[in-house]
Amino acid sequence: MTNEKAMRWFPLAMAGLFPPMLIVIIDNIIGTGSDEGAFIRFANATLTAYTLVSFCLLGALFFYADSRHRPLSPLVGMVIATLVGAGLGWLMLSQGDILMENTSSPQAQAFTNVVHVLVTAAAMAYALALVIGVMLTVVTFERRVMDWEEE
Amino acid sequence: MEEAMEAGIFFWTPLFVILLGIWMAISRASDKLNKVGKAALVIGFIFFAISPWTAAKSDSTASAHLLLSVLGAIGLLIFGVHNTIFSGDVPVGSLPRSAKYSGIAMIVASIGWLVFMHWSTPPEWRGNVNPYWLVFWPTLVLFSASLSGVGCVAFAVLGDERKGGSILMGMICVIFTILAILMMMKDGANTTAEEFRHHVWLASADILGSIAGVGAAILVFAGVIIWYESGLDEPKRMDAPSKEDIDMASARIAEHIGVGDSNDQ
Repeated sequence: MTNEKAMRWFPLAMAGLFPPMLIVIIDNIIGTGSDEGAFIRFANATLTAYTLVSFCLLGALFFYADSRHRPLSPLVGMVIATLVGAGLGWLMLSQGDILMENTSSPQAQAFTNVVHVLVTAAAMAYALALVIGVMLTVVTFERRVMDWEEE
Repeated sequence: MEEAMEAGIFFWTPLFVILLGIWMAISRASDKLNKVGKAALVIGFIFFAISPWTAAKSDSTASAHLLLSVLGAIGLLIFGVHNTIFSGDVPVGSLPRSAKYSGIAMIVASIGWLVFMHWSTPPEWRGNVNPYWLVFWPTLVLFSASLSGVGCVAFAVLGDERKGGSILMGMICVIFTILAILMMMKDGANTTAEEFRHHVWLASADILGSIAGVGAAILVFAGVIIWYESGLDEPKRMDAPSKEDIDMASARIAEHIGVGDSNDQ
């Protein structure tokens, strides 16, 4: 990536991180917020999101590949990728309390993780719909006068 | 065991049917399969939505209960965004300009509905605040603030003459950030400010974790496709055309462009 391109993407990343950073700073100033369990939540969200999305992509690959004589090798590749995610998640959950939250068993934690990621995805989808919707509205309303229209 | 069976049939099966419906709807095999997929999507959604009653003992159905609680706000957002976008300069399906105002009103009402729920009537589940509401709401506020911040800078840096859009996105970013800070300082109806602050930390972990997981899955998917494509043999090259082929092609071209036709000369 050239320096010029990096210079364009850097402010975007910073803008995305600024509100959460501000909130964290204010939380620290107030001084009673607890980040207990945040790392466990992060690890669970990463493993579960990876496994679920891999599974969804595997299904999409299978159904979408109708028009391409459904080649077997990418399907096998995605099956392995999904199984690696699921296996890793299961291994971590069954090794004591590393990734356990307030649940009774690794099975219950696994199901809770799936529901948790779906709820997070719903909240993120709402935010995406709102922000992209407003951006598209701005684009369709700020009608640009083309050079040839001025002539 | 009976409890697990109930959850399996009335909660997890409809979720899987929804996923199956999406897969079938994107299939290119036949239109019939697409229609079956869409029907499965609707049926799966209905059974998922009623799972708090059909699988009442399962804790997971709190998520379906949450979905029903915020369905109105989601519907308002979808219609609001649709009205505002399609009342602008769009080549197809455009709405009258006045639809913009109803769209804006619906978007504001949607966000207001959720804010009101936090400070007045959060969704209740078995006598307490729905546990998934405490996941959904902080995630929504935090992610909206971040995303609108990105939108603000994207308009300013990448866009051309998009100052108005940049200011609007910046305002949305500020509104959501202030909203988050207010909720971190002032108790809600059934949640304390301290509890909300804790959930903001967890929401940050959820957002970052989900983005990391989705990104990794997409990278692996792209890797698998690239690996498969790179292993394919070179496409078989055709032999160079013979004199006969060239003569036949010339004759066909001449027929179509009328070369040698005395009427055209």
